[in-house]
Parts: sequence; structure tokens; C-alpha cells
Amino acid sequence: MAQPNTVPISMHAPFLSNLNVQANVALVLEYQEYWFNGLAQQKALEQLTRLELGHKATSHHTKLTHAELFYAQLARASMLSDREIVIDRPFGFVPFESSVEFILSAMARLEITHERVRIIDLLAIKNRYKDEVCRIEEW
Amino acid sequence: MATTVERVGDWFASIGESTLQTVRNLKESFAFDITLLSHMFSPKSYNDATVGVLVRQVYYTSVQLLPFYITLSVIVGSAVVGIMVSTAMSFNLTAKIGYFIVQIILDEMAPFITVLLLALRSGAAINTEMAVMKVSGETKTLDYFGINPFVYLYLPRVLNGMISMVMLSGLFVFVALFSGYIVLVFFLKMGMTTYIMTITEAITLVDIATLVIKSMLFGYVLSSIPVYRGNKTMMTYNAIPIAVLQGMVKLFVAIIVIEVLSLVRFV
Repeated sequence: MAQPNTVPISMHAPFLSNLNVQANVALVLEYQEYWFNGLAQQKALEQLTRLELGHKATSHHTKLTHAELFYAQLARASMLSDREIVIDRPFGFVPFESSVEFILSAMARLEITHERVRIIDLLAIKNRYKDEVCRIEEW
Repeated sequence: MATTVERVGDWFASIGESTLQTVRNLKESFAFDITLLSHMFSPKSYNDATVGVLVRQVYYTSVQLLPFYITLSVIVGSAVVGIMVSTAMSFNLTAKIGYFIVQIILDEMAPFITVLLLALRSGAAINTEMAVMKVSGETKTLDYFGINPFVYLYLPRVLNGMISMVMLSGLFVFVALFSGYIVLVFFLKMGMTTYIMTITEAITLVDIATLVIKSMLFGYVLSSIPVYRGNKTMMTYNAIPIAVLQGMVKLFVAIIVIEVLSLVRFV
């Protein structure tokens, strides 16, 4: 099976419902990087705690708000350090946010570089990306 | 209005179409089995994630079932041995009791009752789980993260089916033979040593091989058919019950086919 070069953050890439949030985040390391379960779980908890989601680590994804789900998916994507992260319409998770700042601050907490991240969104909400750190390409 | 010739032509065309569809389905399921088996024999498939799923599956399928399964084995075992002993006595065949008990309990009842129970309990659950995962997009998530569903989802479930079937069938034999002994004490006043001698003399390597091979085959179809059918579900929630229904019917047919084929050794 071909290894994808990108990992998504999207409403269309849900967590596995038979695993809790922490196990979902840890799974990619266990499977792709052959980490032992205990170590992968520890790393996952570490990433979730950085996003102040440590208390939700053992919950199932249905107990998370949409915003928490976004952060948990970012933690999951951050586990594979060599992959580009593609965020699909982030304001679908957090419609009340007016700028891209919440993504940048979460990325900073997880030490994700800007070069690793691409965001795909609608032209209609282009103004939410006016921050200078974003390089906008129109399709 | 269609003429008789046209109607006959349509009838032949529909037969041809359904035959082609059956051949396509068989080819597809054969390819699925080949892929699954190739992963089964590849050491690379056994990472911590896959082994973790396998352990959890064995726990849900076998360990959680133990109290009910042991009770069932005692009831069925003592009832079957009781019936066989009273029948053997009425036909003056008490010398063959050991042979009858082994043939019925070890070769037939243990794997058959176990597979029916597991098909109802785990087969239906696996079929539904796979169908829901497909429809909700969870299978696609695995794809996005480069996690092979054959390795992470299907293989542990199929291995669990095979392991659980062999272990539970073996347990059924032990429990049924022990409860059978209690029945024999009532009917024949047979001592424990005599009973053990009678049974061990009647058991051959072929019987044990039949039990193990049949249980493994049952275990394979028990999980692979629900996994395959669940994965073929169309992307709508109302397709889930249809997928489960079709999967369970196919599983039942496969169980009967294996059971009938296993009788060939008596021919």
C-alpha cells in the first residue's frame, strides 16, 4: 500500500469510533512508525495536553466539541513529522472564529512549522486569512 | 407486447447476466481472500497496533463468552452423551460408546455449535462494525493515514475467528466429555479410569486433526465473510442492514458447505 505524503484534518477524516481520542492519535505512530503501544499513547497524551485536551484523552470523539475535534485531529496529524498537513475548511469546525489565528497558535504549541501546512478553503471567506503568514493561492 | 420468443430471449439474457455477476463476485471475493492470506503470512503485518486489535478481539469473542459457553457445553454435552448412551444400550452397543461419543462430540458438535454461536454473536457484530465504518468514512480515514485496512482491520478479526474457534471447540470437547462422564456414572456405573480409557482409545489423530482443521476453516469464514460483506456496503446508512443480512446468509451457507464437505471422510 502506497504511503500518502499528506495527512488530512477534515470532517471527512473522522476518528475511529471504537478507539478513544488518545488511542486514535497514537494509532498512526504504532502503525506507521512501529512504536510500542505504551510509548505511542504517552506521546499522544503529550500532544493532546499541549492543546489543553489532556482531560478528554480517554473520551470518545463523540464527547468532543467541533473545536476540540479540530485540535485533536491536528494532534493526530502532527504525529507523523515527515508528512504535509492538509487542513480542509477549518472554519467548518469552528465557524465562530474570525481569523486563522487559532490554527497558528495550535500549530505553535505542537511545534508544527508553517511550511508543513496547507489550508484548503472557500474564496468567500478569504478575508479570514488576511494575516501575512499565509500565502494565498486562488484556484 | 412482447412475443414469446422475446420473453424467452429476455429470460436467457437475465440468466447470463446473473451468471456473469456471480462470476465477478466470486473473482472479487477470491482476490480479497488472497490479499488477506498474503498479509496473514507476512511478518510485517504484525505491528503493535494489529496485535493490540487481535488481543481485544480474542477477549471480546472468547473470554467474555466463557461463562455462557461453559454452561452451554455442560448442558449440550450431558444431554448428547445421555441420549447416545441410552440408544447404545438399547441396541446392545455399549462396547462402542467411546467411539460414538468421540465421533459426535469431537468431530461434529464441538465445531458446529461453536461456529453457530460465534456467527450469531461475533459474525453479526463484525459485519455491522465494518459496514458502519465504511459508511461513516472511518475506513477512508485509515486510507488517508496510510493504514492498510487489511492489516489493521481485517487480519486481526480473521485471526481472532480462527484462534477463538479452535480454543472454544477444544474447551467444548473437554467440558462435554467431563459432563458426559457424570451421565455415564448414572447409566453404566462406569469408573473414571475406565471412562478415560474408553475415550482415549476411541480418539485418533484423525479426529483431533479434523477438529482443528474444521474449527480453523469455520473460524476463517466466520470473520472473513462478514468483513468482506461489511466492506462492500454502499455509502448510505440504510444499506447497513442489507449488508448484514447478505453477509449472515452467505456465512450460514459457507458453514453448511464446510460441514457437508467434512463428512466426506466417512464416505
